[in-house]
Amino acid sequence: MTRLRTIAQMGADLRAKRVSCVELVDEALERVDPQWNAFIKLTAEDARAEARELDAELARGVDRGPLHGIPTAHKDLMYTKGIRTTGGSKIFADFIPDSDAPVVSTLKQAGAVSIGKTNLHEFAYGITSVNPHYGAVHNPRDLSRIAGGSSGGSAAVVAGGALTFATGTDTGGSIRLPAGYCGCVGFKPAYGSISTDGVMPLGYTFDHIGPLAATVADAAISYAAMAGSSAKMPSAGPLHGVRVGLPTNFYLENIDVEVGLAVRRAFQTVAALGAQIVEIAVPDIDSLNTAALWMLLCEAASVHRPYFDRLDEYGEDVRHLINQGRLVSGMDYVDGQRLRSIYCEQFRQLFESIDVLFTPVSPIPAPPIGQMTVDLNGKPENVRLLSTRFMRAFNLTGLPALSLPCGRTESGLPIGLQIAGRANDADLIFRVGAAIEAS
Amino acid sequence: MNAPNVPASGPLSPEAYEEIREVFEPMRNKFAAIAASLPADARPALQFSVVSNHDREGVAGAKA
Repeated sequence: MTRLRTIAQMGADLRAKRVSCVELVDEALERVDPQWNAFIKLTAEDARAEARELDAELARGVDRGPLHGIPTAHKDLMYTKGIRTTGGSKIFADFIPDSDAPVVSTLKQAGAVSIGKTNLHEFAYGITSVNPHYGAVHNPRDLSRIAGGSSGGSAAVVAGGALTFATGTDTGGSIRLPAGYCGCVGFKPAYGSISTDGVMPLGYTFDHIGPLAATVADAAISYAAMAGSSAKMPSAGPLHGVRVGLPTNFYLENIDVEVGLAVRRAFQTVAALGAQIVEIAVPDIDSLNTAALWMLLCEAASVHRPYFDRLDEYGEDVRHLINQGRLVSGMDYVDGQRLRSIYCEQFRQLFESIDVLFTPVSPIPAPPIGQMTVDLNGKPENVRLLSTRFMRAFNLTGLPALSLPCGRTESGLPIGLQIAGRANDADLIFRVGAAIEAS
Repeated sequence: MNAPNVPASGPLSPEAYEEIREVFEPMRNKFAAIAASLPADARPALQFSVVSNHDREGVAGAKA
């Protein structure tokens, strides 16, 4: 299948009348491969009806902007008015919201057309998207492997070439990891940049909303629309004056050899574009991850408290996590928040010396579906904890982070690079990402 | 190292606790060790509780 056009290319084709909004929707639907199992529900007829209205608007000279008529899909954690919203759960198998989440209505207002609700890890509480109720999402690069999660369905439809962007949520890496495992771009913006209203929560102080996208520019455009602001197209030019942090501890330790090589090539790429590489020691991320997980266990248990008497309807992994959270004491939770304030300050100081920090998205490429442990450098590792170890810090600190492809393994699996930065530096992160993407 | 004053099984049934014990206890102990290093003047990151724009009803507000 040919590569999907970008949002900008689609927009140009629409305005030149080389294609219609309805045709874009039909093209997206045709490109969806059922083998991905990426959707819990397709809403083809609703999408075509919306697209017809948007075609009529363009004919009248009404142009909603860069997303006018662009097909998308929403993770099935987002409330969609009149459309079943399951959260990937059995508990909400028949839940039909009476309103859209603000992020859904904002995108609709911007002209984006949803073709359906994407599959996910149950309640977004996991990283495999192997869903016990709706089936596993399959990685479009290798159907025997996980797509990553929890926004696995959104990643699969984008990386598989059906859509230029889809929505996701990220509480411990749930946008960035599936983007990295499937080979597309994912952006977790700064905490609070996009309203989480109307989105089933997982961890109140860790949840972020953001796009999974085919290119860095598509991510920048869709992020801006989701945040209700104007897009600033990232330029892929020189990076003179940009200080790129090269971690001397943790982030490049105990990783797959091919992942390490690909990430190191990204440093060479930006250095060749004029960026200054700054070797830097990062905070104690191993301890930070423990504190973040401990707090998340507690917050998620609070979210699911009304359903403690229905835990037998949850998948085993999610039930176990919720039961762990029930045992985290209030004192521990407060101590976690005290630790958080220290880690946030440490990261604030870190970003005084650098402008962006490069890390792998994950120490490993996408593992096979059903594999719970992986051997890394001779040591068995839990797939869930291993997969998220490089991302959780940016949920705890709320700092923005971009995931983008930076290479492939010999067997063809995507390798992801994470670029993190200061809270208000999304534009710089996109600019650096665009430079790597173009190289 | 054992974390002090943490109930062995809390509100869970012994069977439910047994399902998570192997994962839970090492993590509880690891967190306790980290928390023990907290400086006395460390304050909680309150900004995360006041800037949250979540739908306060969240999942609980949805009709199962």
